Amino acid sequence: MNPVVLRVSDLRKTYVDGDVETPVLKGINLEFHRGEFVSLMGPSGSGKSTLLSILGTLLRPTSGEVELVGNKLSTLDDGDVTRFRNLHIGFVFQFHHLLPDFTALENVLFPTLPRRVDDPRTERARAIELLRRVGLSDRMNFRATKLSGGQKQRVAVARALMNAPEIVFADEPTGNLDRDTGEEVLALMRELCVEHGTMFLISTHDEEIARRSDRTVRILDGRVVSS
Amino acid sequence: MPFELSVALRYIRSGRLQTVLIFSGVAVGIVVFTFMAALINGLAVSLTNNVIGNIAHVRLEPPPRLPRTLGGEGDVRALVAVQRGNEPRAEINGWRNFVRMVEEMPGVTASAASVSGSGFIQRGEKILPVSVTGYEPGKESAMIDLSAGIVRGTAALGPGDVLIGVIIAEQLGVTTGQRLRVRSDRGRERALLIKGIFDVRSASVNERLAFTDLATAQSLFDVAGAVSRIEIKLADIFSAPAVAERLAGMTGLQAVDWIRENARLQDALSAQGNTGDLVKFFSVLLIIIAVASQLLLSAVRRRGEIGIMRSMGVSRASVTWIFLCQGLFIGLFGSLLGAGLGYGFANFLARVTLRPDGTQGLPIDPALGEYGLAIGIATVASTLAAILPARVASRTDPVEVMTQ
Ligand SMILES: Nc1ncnc2c1ncn2[C@@H]1O[C@H](COP(=O)(O)OP(=O)(O)OP(=O)(O)O)[C@@H](O)[C@H]1O
Ligand SMILES: [Mg+2]
Repeated sequence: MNPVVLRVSDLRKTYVDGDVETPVLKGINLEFHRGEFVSLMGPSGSGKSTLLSILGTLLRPTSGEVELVGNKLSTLDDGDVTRFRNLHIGFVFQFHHLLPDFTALENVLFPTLPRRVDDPRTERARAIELLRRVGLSDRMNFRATKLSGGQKQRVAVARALMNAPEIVFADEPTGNLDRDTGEEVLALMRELCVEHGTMFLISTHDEEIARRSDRTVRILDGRVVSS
Repeated sequence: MPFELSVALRYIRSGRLQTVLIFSGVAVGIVVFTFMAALINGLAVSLTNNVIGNIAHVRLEPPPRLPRTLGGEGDVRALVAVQRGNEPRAEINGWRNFVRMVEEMPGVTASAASVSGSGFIQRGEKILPVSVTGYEPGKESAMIDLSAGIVRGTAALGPGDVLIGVIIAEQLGVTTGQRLRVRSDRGRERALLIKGIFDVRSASVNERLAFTDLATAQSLFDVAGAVSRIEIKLADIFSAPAVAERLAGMTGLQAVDWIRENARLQDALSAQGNTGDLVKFFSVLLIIIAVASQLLLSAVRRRGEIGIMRSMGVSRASVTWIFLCQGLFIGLFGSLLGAGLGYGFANFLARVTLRPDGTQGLPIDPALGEYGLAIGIATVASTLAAILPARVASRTDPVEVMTQ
């Protein structure tokens, strides 16, 4: 078995809004391995997005520990977390795909901006190769707004992989696409998962996606019911 | 180039209509700013020129003489009230030495010794009060440019000649070649030949002053061999107080500079300056408000994008810089545009208000628009205006990318 890249122990999240406390995650324990393609299922409101936000270091848990590529999240301050996210984590979202003022190529290159870059030409070549890989060689210099929904999502997948992260989180990445386009994007992620050895965790309502995953984590009422 | 700068530039470039609007807003503010500066400064220069055009910058006069007081010898303490004004007319003796000293002084462009006093001009039944000044030969035009203002005859004065203003000539109904009787307050009287009539665009000069040569004035006012003042023009008019102080020290004479003599002008100029500053202040305030509201809107509208950036590992500090740089660019480019437009506008106004005789209708001076200052202030103000939007943007919760 491949090494563990993500470990979650007794993770809890309670949203507090004034006097109202909403417990969403009630003790989650999970382990994910390098190169795994995992789907995350659960009814609407069960806490899938919340879980992905916490694992993706966008949101702090109420309690519990997340260990990402050997780093305990609770030991990192906000600046460390931002740098960590840049180097080790990629995202694909349901609604917000690309930065609209930039071209496809610039979007793919964007994750390299905040970090140290030794040779811009190597980075550029990698971005171009990723775009070719997702089938968009002829759209590289198109503005993001000039791309179709499926094309945008494929650029987003290329971008998520740009910094060669260990983990990519995708929150209902096909939720806004039609069936065929969704299929294409999913197939693409599946292939890239194998090629790059990147672990994918994809939240979805689509049983078809679940069937095509290595493993499916199901959550209900804030707890893992099967994994 | 740090990536924050290039992202800011991209945001500005892709803003289209919004960018055009905000640039126009800043530019209009700067047009107002520079126009106000060009107008107020131009007005100050033209007022100052009007005032100093017809006066000396520094005047050397005999020190005030106090009447001698008697008594107070020995141990006696005396309180004495001294009343001035009854002493004989003060005069400068040995004035040629002083004139030489003045002319050797750096920064002095012209000097003229003169005798002046008041009297009456008489022609038939009519009598007018005048102030008569006699200059050394060839120095008639050193203080007031009489030769440029001559409308009839010539400004060159010989013994027994007089120059009078157009208003006097009109009131007396005289012209060049005719004779006038001039009686001084010393009781001396002479018949003088009208050599020229001048119009120096100053009513008080045109209706009150008459000019003769030095010898004529000396005999009219009983000051044989002496003069009553030495007048001086300077290259830098604002050095007058310093020059006056030095000359007073060197000569022992009383030195009066034009700035001290025209305190009211200084007050008027500074009041005008304050008004201008107020308008400039509001134009900068306009820029700050426009930039702040524009960027605040952008910070809210781009929440999703900022969320994407944060998810890609862009720090909060970088988001802050992206917005501060936008403020900087808007201020810099908007004010460059505004400065260009302001200069054009000031030039245009200066040209269309030009009177047919070549004088300025509006005393605006496009060269004095304080363009560098305007650009500097606008750039700084606009960057500061971006602080609040930058804080709002940097606090965007990256979790928002997960939701719509
Ligand atoms: N910021 C918040 N403050 C308070 N409650 C929140 C907040 N965000 C989410 N919740 C609540 O937490 C619960 C889980 O929300 P979450 O978005 O994680 O669900 P989800 O499984 O992703 O649902 P969906 O399938 O509809 O996307 C919901 O009941 C939601 O109302
Ligand atoms: Mg969700």
